[in-house]
Amino acid sequence: MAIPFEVPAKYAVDVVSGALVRSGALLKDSSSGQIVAHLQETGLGQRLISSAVNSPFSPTYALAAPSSLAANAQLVQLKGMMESLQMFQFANLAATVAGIGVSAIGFVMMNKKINGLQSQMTEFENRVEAWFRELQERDLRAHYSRLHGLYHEADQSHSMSNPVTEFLRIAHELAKESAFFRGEVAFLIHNDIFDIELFKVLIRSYTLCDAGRIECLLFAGELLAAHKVSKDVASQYNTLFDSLSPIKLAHKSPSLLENKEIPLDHLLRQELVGIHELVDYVRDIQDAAISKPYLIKTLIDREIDGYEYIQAITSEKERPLLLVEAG
Amino acid sequence: MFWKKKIKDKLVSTERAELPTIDTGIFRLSCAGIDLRRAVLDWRDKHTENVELHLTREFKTLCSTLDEVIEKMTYRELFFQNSFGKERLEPILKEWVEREATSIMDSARKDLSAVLVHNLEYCEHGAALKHKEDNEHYADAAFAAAATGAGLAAIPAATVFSVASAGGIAGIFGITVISWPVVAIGTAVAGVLLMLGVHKATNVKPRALSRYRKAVHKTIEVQVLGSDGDNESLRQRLQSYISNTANMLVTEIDNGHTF
Repeated sequence: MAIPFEVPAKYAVDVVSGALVRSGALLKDSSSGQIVAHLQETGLGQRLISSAVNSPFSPTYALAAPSSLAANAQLVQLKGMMESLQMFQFANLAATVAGIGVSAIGFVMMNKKINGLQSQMTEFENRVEAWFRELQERDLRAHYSRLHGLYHEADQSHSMSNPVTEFLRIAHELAKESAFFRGEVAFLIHNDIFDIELFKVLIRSYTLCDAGRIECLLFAGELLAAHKVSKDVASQYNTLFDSLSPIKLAHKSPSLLENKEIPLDHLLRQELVGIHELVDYVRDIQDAAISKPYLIKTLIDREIDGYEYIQAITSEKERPLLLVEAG
Repeated sequence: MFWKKKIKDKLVSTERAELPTIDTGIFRLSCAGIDLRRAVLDWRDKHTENVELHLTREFKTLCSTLDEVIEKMTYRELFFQNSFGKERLEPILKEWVEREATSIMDSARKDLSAVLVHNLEYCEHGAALKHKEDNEHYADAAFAAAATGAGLAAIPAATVFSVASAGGIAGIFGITVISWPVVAIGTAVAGVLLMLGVHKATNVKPRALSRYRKAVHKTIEVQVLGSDGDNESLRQRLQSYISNTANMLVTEIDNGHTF
């Protein structure tokens, strides 16, 4: 059946006028609060942002930069869509694997991102030597290798005669990896020293596992399970990240703990700049995670095939962002 | 793909299955609570940060004010530091704590009211339009939050009072900031020096004052900004109050609490 995708332009005027508001990855009627549509990134949107952005945590900067980027008509189109839907800052999510709507990143791209994350981890080795000792470096490498393997297998599953069982198995394995990274994120949050760069890598690894789990379940046609998992993921994110407080994190930053010569309040203010950006990003992840079950519920209500849906968004060539009308 | 038929079959079974009601945890509230939830967390973050930055900034002013008073201490007052602290410094400290805590909590209260009023207006519109699914829970959350928030009206007075009466501020000068022997020795030396010459003796008092000043700063810093586990500082107390309020609101939002 045809998937009821809509183009952002349909809603842009109402968003600008305030008749519609964005809440997480949902567009809602501002007077009634009723969900009108679900935002959904596409494979094209993912590729555009990934190619434009050096730092995965500052895509909005990259999108805002005029220069050579303006030459890319599709990127300009994406920027226009983001602006018209007042989701410029929210676009940060598209650059990572948290995803706007269901992740349209694809298993091959997920594997590339794992490579990047793993190499970043190695760079931290010297800076957080003590932390790495506790974590047991070898164990961490094993987890990244396992993720590599799982995403390879997921990609290869498409060519199987009956990939459903395989997708379910991979979703199950990704759940275990997600639990591992959740534990590491929790450890870092409660540790006496908070390394912001390390946290970014861990949180992206963690959300990568969850995005993959949900994608596998959708591919397998297990929409009810995908719905349940997305709800649980949202709850876990809230439990873990609600306690993140910029001022507490700033107090635990290594530069603050090491530097005793510069006045504390000066250092605090310096640290808070980067930490605000991080906490905003984490809150966006939480909002996106809370929005996701509503999108999947819409897919179920509208009897949309999970496989077809993922195929449609990943193979989209013209529009970086789509919307799914609420049922 | 040729295996898609099987997936279709699975979807057929999905259609027959009853979709579980979204009724636990964060989903009891419906999607409408997303904004309110984030607004409350943002409010908490902004104001716990403000507590720290505000107190740290104003602490310098407090120290300057106390220094001016300490600077005018007489020899007699140096001997009777305890009563000097209670009579001269403690009123300044109390007044400062009351003023700054009130200012901080007033700002937090106003901001929280704005968040809640905004959401209440939102759900009133919604109620008028009878969009049941999204707005009843939303209204519950906002009213729940507002009802909890009503207690915030009493924050400044209650907080200040509890800080002042917790033994923290009032008790600061109950201890001898500079121990007697040290002062006694210093004074004995001063007496000798007086015999030797007034010029040298005058250096003793500044040193004693300096020691006293440092001790006062250190003691007050612990009481105002400290993070010692044993005694909660003013900063920790105000931050806890804000965090606890936010946690309570978020819990109510997540549970779709109704009154």
